[in-house]
Amino acid sequence: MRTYVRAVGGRVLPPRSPRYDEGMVIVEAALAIPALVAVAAAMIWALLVATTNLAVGDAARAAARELARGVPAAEALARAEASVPGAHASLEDAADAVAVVVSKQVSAPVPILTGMTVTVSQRIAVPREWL
Amino acid sequence: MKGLARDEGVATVAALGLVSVLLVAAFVAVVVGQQASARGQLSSAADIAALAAAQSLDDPCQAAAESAAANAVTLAECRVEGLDVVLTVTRPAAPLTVRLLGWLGHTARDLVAVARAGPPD
Repeated sequence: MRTYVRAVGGRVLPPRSPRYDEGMVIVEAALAIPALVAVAAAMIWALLVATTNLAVGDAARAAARELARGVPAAEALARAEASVPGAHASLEDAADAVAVVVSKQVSAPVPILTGMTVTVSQRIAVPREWL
Repeated sequence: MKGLARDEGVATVAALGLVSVLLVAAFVAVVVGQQASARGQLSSAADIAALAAAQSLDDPCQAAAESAAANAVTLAECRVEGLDVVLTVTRPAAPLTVRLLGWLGHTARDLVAVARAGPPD
């Protein structure tokens, strides 16, 4: 007994016919491509987070060095914010130390998901006498 | 076209292969990135500790040690060379680097940074 299966286009083909499962690849690709796009987007996001992390670290370091030279805190922080677009620089005054903190929100690199963000921040503690 | 007759699963296998290659690449990138970040934090901490030491009037190495501690790095060496202070600070490698090298049977070496500071000439 032979089974016949309705294939793409409504024609009846025997199972071993070359065109029996031609639709499968299209269906699988339709599932696989969005998954690949999602993985690629996640990787791009991770790359953005990594580069931003280094950029805010550099900005915090530069601001701390300016404080050491006697530059007023407001000016040093403003320069740190200017050097990394979208970053926020502040002084964190904890009990034992003062720290320069530069942070930036990195949004997902996908048009409809830009509301999803990761906050990247770097802090460097400086001697209290520098302020 | 006989070889392509039963090609169900081809796209899934291709996609899985591609995704696994991407994930391995992403993991390596994250490890390298975390290590680069740790190195940057360490050299910043070294800079700041050296500047703190250079500006300290009484005990440069005490000032360097305090600054290093505030940034969670270890002051390994502190030398006064004339008017300059030369520091060596260390910190453990980034967590993922330690883990990855551990899996591979190695131990991650501590990161080391050297900084020098002194009065302007």
